[in-house]
Formats: sequence, structure tokens, C-alpha cells
Amino acid sequence: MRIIIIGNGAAGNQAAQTIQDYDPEAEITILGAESIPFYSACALPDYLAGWIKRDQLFLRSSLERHRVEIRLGQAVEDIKPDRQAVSAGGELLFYDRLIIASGSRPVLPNIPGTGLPGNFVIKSVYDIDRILSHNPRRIVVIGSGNIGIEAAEALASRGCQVSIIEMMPRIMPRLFDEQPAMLIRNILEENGIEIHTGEKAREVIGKNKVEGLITDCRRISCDAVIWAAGVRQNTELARAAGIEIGGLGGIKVDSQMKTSHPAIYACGDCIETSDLLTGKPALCLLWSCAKAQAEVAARNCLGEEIVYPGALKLIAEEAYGKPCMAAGLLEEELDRTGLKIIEKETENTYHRILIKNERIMGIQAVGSMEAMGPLLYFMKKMIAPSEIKRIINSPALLKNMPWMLAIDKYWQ
Amino acid sequence: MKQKRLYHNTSLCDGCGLCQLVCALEHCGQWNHYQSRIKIVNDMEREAFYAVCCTQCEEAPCILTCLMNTIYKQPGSDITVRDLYHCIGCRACELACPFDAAVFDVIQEKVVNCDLCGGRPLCVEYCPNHALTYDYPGDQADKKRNQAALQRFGTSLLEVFKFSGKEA
Repeated sequence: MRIIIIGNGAAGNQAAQTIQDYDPEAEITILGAESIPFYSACALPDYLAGWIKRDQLFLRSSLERHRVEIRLGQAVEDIKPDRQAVSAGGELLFYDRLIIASGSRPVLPNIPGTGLPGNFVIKSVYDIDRILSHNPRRIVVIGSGNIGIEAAEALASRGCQVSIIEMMPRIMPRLFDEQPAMLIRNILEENGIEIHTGEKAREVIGKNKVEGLITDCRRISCDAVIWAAGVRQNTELARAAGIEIGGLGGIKVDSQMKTSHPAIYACGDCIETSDLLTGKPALCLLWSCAKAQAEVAARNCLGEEIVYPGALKLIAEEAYGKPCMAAGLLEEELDRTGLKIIEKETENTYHRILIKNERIMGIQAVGSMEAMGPLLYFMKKMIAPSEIKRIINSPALLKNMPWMLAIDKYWQ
Repeated sequence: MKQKRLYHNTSLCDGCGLCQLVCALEHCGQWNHYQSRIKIVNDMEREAFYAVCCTQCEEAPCILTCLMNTIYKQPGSDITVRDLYHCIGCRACELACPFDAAVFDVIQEKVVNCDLCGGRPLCVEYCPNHALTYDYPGDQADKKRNQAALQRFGTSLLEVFKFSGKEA
């Protein structure tokens, strides 16, 4: 069987790996638009800070070279579903099954000045190389998702003066609820990062390079602007080939990762899947989701029938040595009726558990990640809190798991 | 390939914690049980000690979660090993582990798990009560059966089978 994979990222490589493990005879071709080998996009802030070396970004791959052909620097021009072929580099490549893992790209808003030198995004190794060679001293990071926060911390550790501009009223608005977000904000501000929430960037000013940024209520002089205000799915290829696109902007797939075209599968950042907890369509642009989806897509490609249960948002972050984690849904994403919020705050830790209809719907923790793994599995397997008490009915174990002290209130 | 695993006999363990200290000394050179890859948990209600250690899951969630693809199954066996050169210490695997068996090594600032000491676990060697054993999964089950037979009939399982006329 000839399988072509578009995209040399986490999803593309995981799909190739799975196909190689399950079918020794499949011929696999990976087409990557960037002309560098497979690297981890999640470690880019660490490289920006100088905590890891450049070669540590490039990942170990156990793909066998004689069975997997990796063509780098060859962007796919178009997909011809009726002929079962893709054209890349002026050549027509035929496939039996096609896996689209084209990923996503950062979005820059349509405001004046974003074309000036000194505007950066954080998406590939080249972006980081460019930031490092620009050597900025005064930086504004726009957007406070996990990329924004990590980049801000990384640049601050290099000795730069960093400001974060966030449009929403709190930082990390898609990841944390108000109170944990406030705690993280305090940690960042204590360490010298300036944060302005509820402001929108209006204009980047400067003659030949970036000299400042104008927001709704202030003007910040800076020599670099980093845009971390979200990403958009790369769906142009699929759209041109007549593959159905979902309402949220990703390629529409069923639970087997099949697109509207029978021989074409999709996985990774470029698709929209369903949420594990609610079953509603959702975008999940995370490394672990991409890998899980790629495995499902690859195995279905080979004729198995595996179902992807749905994406679960899971973020682990470290803000100046304090581990923070969030999983599942936020308070505002859930219906108010019947929602119980359990909070437990101690001197160094904060835990928040959202429970609805006897199911754990969201977990957020700041300061401690100890024993969160079991709780995550209770959430994934939809085990009721009363059942958890039956399973772990021991004061000694309770002492070892900080979140148990929080959930203990719920039982009483 | 069948691989030997660590087994912990709760009834023999008295919670001395020597396995933790030996493990930490072997892997980090520190006499400090926080650095150990094996954890002994004291359950006071059931009056028992449990050993928490990497179970070498077949479909390990840590492998899927790893951001840097550092975790993989050792080729030729089913042990979960790590290539620590690429590890950035993001602790995602620690979060994903349902057994809480991935340990954050504060010296290297990387997450580690039990590697069975390359086939000769020191915790087993140093366990004063022989509560920890390193055995094949099937052998362990046979031993348990034998023990049960010994308790119930006073002979080994082989003898019981002979007595009942069945092939062992």
C-alpha cells in the first residue's frame, strides 16, 4: 500500500511510525514544506531562553530510511482526489491512502506596521533563529496563551524587558479560570514581567524597524513585537481539493479521522475533532492530541477500525519554577446549573476541580502537580467522585494527594 | 519477548525504605529518598506498605504525551526507556502517568522512571525482607499458586496435581 503523508510534524511522524509498526510492507512518503528535519515545536521557548541547545530540538526518530521516504522542502501544490495523486515539486505522486497533517500557522492581525522588521512569531526553528539574531532588548508579547507566557519567561531570562498585552480581561483566558490566572499573573509580575490585560494592539510604529506599539490605552516603546495571539489551521490544500471544512475552521473528520473523501485521512492541528467531555466539536492544537489522532488515522488507514474518543485539553506549564496545570473545561464553558466548584488554597498550592452531574469536568492546579495523574484518569474514565472515595479510602493516601484535600470538602 | 518485572510482596514489606535510598544512590549519587524511582507508600488504614514504581505499561500514556519523543519502548523488550538528552523537563509525562510513577529528578531537572537497573535491580538485591522480587510474570503467578496450595493443602502445587491425577 502506498501512503503519502503531508506534513513533517508531530502528527505526520507519529502516523509514519504507526504505519511502520503495523504494516511492514507499506510504502510511506512524507512531504515536508520546511527543509529541516523533524523537531519539537514545544521546546522552542526553551531554545529561545538558551536552556537547551539547538540540536536538542531535533528529535530521535526510529523511522527506517529504506521504507520511509522523507522529502523535505517540497510543499504540496495540490491534491487531486479523483486521480488519487498529489503534485509536489512538479511531480505527480500517486497514493492509495493520503494523510493530511498540514498543521497550523500563527495569525497576525490586520493592523498597520506588522510588516516591519522586528515583528516575530514563534512557530518554527527559523523564527527563533531570527529573534536571536535580532537581539532585542525591549519586547512586547501579544497574546497570553501558553506560547506567549513561555516566550515571555524565556526572553525575560535572557535579560530582556518584557510586556504582555492580552485582549481578554485575564491572562491565559482559554486555559485557566479567573483565580488561578490571577495567581500565575502574580508569579509573573513578581519576576518583572509587565502584564496589561483588556487591551488590544492598534498599531506597530517605526520607520525602518519596530520602534513601538500603540494599544487602546498606552504606547510602549520596544524593538521587537512577538505575536502569539492564536493560530489558524492550514486548510487551503484540503479546501481546494473539495474536502469538507468544519464550522470552527478545521478539516472536518469523523471519529475515525476520515475526511469527507474516503481515501483521505487527516490528523493533527489542521482538523477539528470532538471534545472528550462534552462531545461537541472542538479544536485541540496540542502535541499529545496530534499524536493520538495520528495513531488513530494511521491504523484506520491500514484497514483497522479504531475510534478516537475525543480530545482532552491538557496543559502543563512551569511559571518560574511553579508547576501549573489545566485539564478539561473552564467554568465559563460549562452550564451554570448543577455546577459545583471545589477550591482549595494553601500557602503554595491552589487546586480547583469542577464537578457537574457527578462527573469531573475540569481540573486546574497551580504550585503542585503531585498526584494529578490519577485524578486525570478519573476524569477521562468519567468516574464519579463518590466512587473515587471508595477506591482511595485511606487517610494516608489522602495526605499524599493534595487534590484529595480539596475534593474531601465535596464529600462532606 | 517476555521480560522480568519487579514484584512487591506487601505482607513482607516493613517500610524500611532501603530500596528508595539504594535507588537514589545508584541513579543520582544521593542518599535521599526523594530522588528514588521507587516509592514506598504507607497506608495506615490497611496497615500496609505499597511500592509505587513504573509498571512498564504496554500502551504507555507517557509515550504519547512526551513533547520531545524521548520516551520509547526499548527495541527487543517492552521496557519503557528515556533518552534524557532531549528531555526538557516539562513534566507532561508525570502528569499523564496514572500510577504517579514518573519521578522528577531535581538534580538533572528531568523526569525519570524505573529502568530496572539494566536487568539487575539494586532495590531487589538490598531488600532485607525479600519483599521485592524480580521475576517473569508467569513465574510470579506460579509462585503465588504454590503458596496458596501450601497454605491450603500443606504441599506444593505439583503434589496437589499429582494427587488429583491431573497433569501439572
